[in-house]
Amino acid sequence: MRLSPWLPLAVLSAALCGAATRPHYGGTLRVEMRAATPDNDPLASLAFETLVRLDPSGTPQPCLALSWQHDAASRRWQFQLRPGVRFQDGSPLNAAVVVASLEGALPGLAVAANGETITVRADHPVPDLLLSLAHDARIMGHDALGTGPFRMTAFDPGHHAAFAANEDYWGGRPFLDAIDIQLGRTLRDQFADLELGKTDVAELAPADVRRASARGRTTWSSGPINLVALRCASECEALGLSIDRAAMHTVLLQKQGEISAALLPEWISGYAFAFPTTPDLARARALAAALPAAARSVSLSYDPAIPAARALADRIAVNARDAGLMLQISAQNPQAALRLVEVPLPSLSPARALTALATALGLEAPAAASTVAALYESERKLLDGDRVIPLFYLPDEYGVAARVRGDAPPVTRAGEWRFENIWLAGTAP
Amino acid sequence: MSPLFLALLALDLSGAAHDLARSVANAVAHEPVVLNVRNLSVLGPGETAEIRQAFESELKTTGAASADVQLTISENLSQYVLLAEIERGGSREVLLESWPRDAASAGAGKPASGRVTLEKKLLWEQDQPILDALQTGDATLVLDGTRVLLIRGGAQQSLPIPAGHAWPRDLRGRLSVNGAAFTAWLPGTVCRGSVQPQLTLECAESQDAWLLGPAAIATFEPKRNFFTGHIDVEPGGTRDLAPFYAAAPAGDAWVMAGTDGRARIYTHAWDAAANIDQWGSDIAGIQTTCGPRILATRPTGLAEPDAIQPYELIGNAANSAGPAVEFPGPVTALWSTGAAATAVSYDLETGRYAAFTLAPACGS
Amino acid sequence: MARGDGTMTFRTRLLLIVALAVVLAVAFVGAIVSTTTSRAFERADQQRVAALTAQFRQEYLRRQREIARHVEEIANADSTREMVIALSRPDADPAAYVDAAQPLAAAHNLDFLELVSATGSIISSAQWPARFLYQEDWVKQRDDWNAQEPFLKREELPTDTALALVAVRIATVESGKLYVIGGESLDRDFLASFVLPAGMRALLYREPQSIISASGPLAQTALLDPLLADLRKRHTEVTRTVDWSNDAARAETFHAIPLIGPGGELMGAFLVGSSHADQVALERFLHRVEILVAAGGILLALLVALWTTARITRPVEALAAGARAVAAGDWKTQVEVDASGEIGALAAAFNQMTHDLREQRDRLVQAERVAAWRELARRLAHELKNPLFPLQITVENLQRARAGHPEQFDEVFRESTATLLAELGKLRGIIGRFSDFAKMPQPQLETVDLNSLIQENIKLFQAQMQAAGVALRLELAPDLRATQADPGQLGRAVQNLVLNAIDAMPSGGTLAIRTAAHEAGARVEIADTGQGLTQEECDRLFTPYYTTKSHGTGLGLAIVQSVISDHKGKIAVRSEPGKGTTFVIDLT
Repeated sequence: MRLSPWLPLAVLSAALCGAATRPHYGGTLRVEMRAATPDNDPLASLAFETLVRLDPSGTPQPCLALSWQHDAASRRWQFQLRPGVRFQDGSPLNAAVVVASLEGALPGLAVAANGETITVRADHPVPDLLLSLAHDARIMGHDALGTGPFRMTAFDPGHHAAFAANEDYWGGRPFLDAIDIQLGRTLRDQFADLELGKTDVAELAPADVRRASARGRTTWSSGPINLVALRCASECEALGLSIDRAAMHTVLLQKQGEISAALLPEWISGYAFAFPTTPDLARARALAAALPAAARSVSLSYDPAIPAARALADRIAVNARDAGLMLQISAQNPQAALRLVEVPLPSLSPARALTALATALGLEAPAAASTVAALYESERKLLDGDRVIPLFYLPDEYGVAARVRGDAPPVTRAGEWRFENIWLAGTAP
Repeated sequence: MSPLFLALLALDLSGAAHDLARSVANAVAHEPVVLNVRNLSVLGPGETAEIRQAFESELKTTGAASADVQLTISENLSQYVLLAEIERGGSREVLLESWPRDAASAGAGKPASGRVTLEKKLLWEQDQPILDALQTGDATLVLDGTRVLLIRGGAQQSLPIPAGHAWPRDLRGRLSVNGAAFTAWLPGTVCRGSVQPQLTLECAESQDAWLLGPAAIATFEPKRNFFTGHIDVEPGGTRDLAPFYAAAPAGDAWVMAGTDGRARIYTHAWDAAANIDQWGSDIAGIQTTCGPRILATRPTGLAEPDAIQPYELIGNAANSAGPAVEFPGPVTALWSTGAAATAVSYDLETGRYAAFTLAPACGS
Repeated sequence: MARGDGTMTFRTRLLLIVALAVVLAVAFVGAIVSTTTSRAFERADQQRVAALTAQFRQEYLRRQREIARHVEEIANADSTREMVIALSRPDADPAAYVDAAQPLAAAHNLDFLELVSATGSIISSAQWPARFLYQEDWVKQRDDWNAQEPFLKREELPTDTALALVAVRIATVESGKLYVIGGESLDRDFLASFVLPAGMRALLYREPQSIISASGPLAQTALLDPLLADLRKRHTEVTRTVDWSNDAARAETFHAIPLIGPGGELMGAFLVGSSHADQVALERFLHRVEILVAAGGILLALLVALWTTARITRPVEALAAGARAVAAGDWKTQVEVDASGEIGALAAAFNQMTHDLREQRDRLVQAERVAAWRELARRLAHELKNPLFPLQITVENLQRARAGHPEQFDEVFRESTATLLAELGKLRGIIGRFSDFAKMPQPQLETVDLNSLIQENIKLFQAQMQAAGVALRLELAPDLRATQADPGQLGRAVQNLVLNAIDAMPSGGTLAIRTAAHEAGARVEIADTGQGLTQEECDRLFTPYYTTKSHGTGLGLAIVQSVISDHKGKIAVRSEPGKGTTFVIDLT
């Protein structure tokens, strides 16, 4: 809305809400989620920390490691631990615990402690080590406790998890007293609860982000970290060429996330745009016509937990029909020849992410790649088999209640939760 | 970016560019090609030009082209990526080179997070509405609806702006300084002058486009308070977008604060990528040492205090990049000066208009 | 019912006549009733079809009006206007309205609703939500949709194609434009809205191949192909009967009303089916009744016949049986008939007749016997006289010679004894023949080939026939079966007949002997071309000692008859004076 000094000024509103307020301590943040397990990154990121973490621009920043160095070949790395850090049971963070965590999280690397310095050696260059450390290597102490700003106080698998503020957190006690997380809630129910004020943070389907914004609701969003793809039991090049990703992205996903014909998202690989995403209907028709009649009728199964899964499947079926392929759609059919799946990005290291994605999608392990060009070749070879059709990379998106405040992005690009700077308006300190 | 960083970056960048250019030249058998360059990274136009130059020096880009080469500058978390797509006779070949984003070792003391803190400094205060104000050398130049004012030391000089026609309501105006010369744009009028040795001013009715940002101009509706949507940006050329109040560059992207109350993000290809619904009508893009940032007002009313918040564009989302700067009343103007911005606000208590510079400082 | 000779009994004839009368009457009445019923059904059927057709047209019009109204309401709604305004902006985002069509369609009870932008791109589709941004270029070809009536259209759906009645309205705000395409499906629910009399059904044919009823798709539609082919060719209402099976009750007459699309193409048809089941059931019922009545009539006829038998036929048959018995020789037959009136009088007369006949026969037999004895005595006297006279003369000669001429007595004695012996021999021969006739032995049966037997026996008379100038013509059947006979006796019988035939042709002629096989056995015919016999002569021909010849004992034919009779055969004679005589022997 354009402000005009020529217009008569209105009487001052009694509620001068423009002035900034100081954060409040106290309160329990209520969160609802679909995922039924606690193994996903958001919950783990509340209690566990890594040696380094990435800032919004992707630059590694000190976390449990204050500083680090590496040799020219990026084969030998050294990390200096931050002093004064304690686990949630009060035990001190030391190099031995870090070594044990890193050895488990980074197989194939030799990790050793020297005083409070951690040395990581590899027999090949690992220029992306910091990315792996930032995402894949959570430092875990005794009894699976972490050093993070919150500690888990309750866990009922599939139903409920609860966290309490770590009073002795090295970065300063969080503003929130507790976080209460209801698990296993559908997106629809979460949206309703958000609207009714029954929750403070709820996951949003892509189509609901617009609705939430239109109502003036704050939204949080990670980077594009969830790959939505079609897994094919047999080669499905014709289908891949018929899919109009742009239309689905514009309408069904409301331009959330990004279109992708690559396994790795653009911000991880830097070359995802090189995999063409535009459909080639003429070629799709020609390929489909060459298939035996029985192969032109295919079953497609979708996971209802994927946002807009049914709508995506329906649209894919419409596109496929234009190419002469008939798809029969069903939910959660393990026998289906095609499956619409969502796979979270397993690592921020491109090479590790590609290997893990290939495993998750049932592809053969890609060749080892130490350069971007080699990684591109590995990925291209994986996709040349036409057994996976990447479609989109979607972010984790959350609608946030009005009482939730905080200016630092509470959800990182990689989807981790940084709730230590969140506070609730209207709560008593 | 720091000079050292830029130098190091240049080494890696041109090295990778030359390597890739050689690979491409070999691939097209050194025949002439049509070269297109686009930038998807945070590298600025300077680096983009350097890469193009490195390529053109290796490739023959004139004559009957045997292939189309699309060169894309991209990045991931740790590397800049240079990718060449060669289209030749129906076939497609992809060649890649990359170089690290950060040549120096990491550790404490390096430029830290992308968070930006805005330092607000008062430039000028007066009763009449201020349209724009700029610091130029040791002087301050102020534009309002009736005059151009030069304040140097304690002395003031002003020259009237001839009112050849009635100004539209919600008058807007913009100043730009180049050495001692300055340009002032008002709806349907352009004034040029200098501040040395003393203030001169010459105004004429004109439909000339206003300066929008670096290498970007836009046509202002002469009897209104918004830009028509016709812009001219280098590279890229002219475009016709929806009418907007303000625009801010962010890397290769642009954000336009539309007259419908929505801010729209446009990609480098001028595709509308996403909307931002929680911004006011005034936005400005500034270049900071931690990257481009966008300053945006809040969508508050005339009778409410406003604030200006820095944002960082990541993908198609605008994330808050630092604490907001509060103002005692509505912000009436916000213009970028490149590495900083000028903000004008109306004080609800005193009834006076004040112009501030907003200088960004990177770090938490 | 039939006698042994194949003639029909009175009872049978009566039964047949009454039965025939009943059947003919029933058939006639039945034909009239069937024809009348059939015409009545046809008229009623035509009226029902006409009523249902009118109902269809009315319902179609009503739906058109309703669809147009709903689509206009949507086009004129405030929310639609806001959509038009929002979409007319240069940076319009149609994605915001991708779900707009479904609730609108539900609220207006429309099966189909598409909101299409000014460029022809689908903004939202209620029936196929996934088709957003697909082009519906056909809608841009007219600007006068708001004045157009709803029309038929084939609507593609995710899994099939539907026939829809759709209307298009343009929502316009300033320069902004939105096409609203809404409609209803012509489907089972459409058919279910019709009130159908019993025996009728409504079907909906949708090009190219779908036929549905109110309860779902029709399985067997191949038999409707000729009707549909007719419809496609003519594009006008057609009527045709379809035989769903060999059972006439399953036939159905269909009246098809074509549904024409905006371009004049056939989109489908409304089919009114009228089952023949009731008509056929009634006809069958009538037939059954006819049959029952006919059967009843026949039963009645039987009862009448039986009653008539009791009252009339039985006595008549008794009389006929009696007559047959009398004909067979049982002249003692008396008919016991418990009947009054003419039948009783007839029975009494019959009994009297048989009694009189018996007396007469007895008298006749007596007379015949006397006549036969007299004839035998005469023949005996005649036969014996001839040899006796020479015997007397010879003895008298002997007496005279002894008395008068004793010197010649030896010679005379020799001559006389020779004569005596010769004449005594003749006497013995005569007595022997009589004796033979008196005690003819039983035949010794063996398998005999009649043709061979005849040929062997005829050889004996070759010379005689030649001398008599008699030509022999043998017509022996080659397929004659062997028969059981005494060859000796039968041969003598044949010889007697041949001899008689030769004797009957003193001036020559033709002797024809024919054999033939017949059902019962074999037939032998011996025919001559002599002077023939009168009827009286034929009657008495087989009487012993009856002869037409001047010589002979008259036993020959009697012996022949006796031999044939012993062989269980029959012999008959055909003759006319001047035309020869034919003896016919039938052997089993």
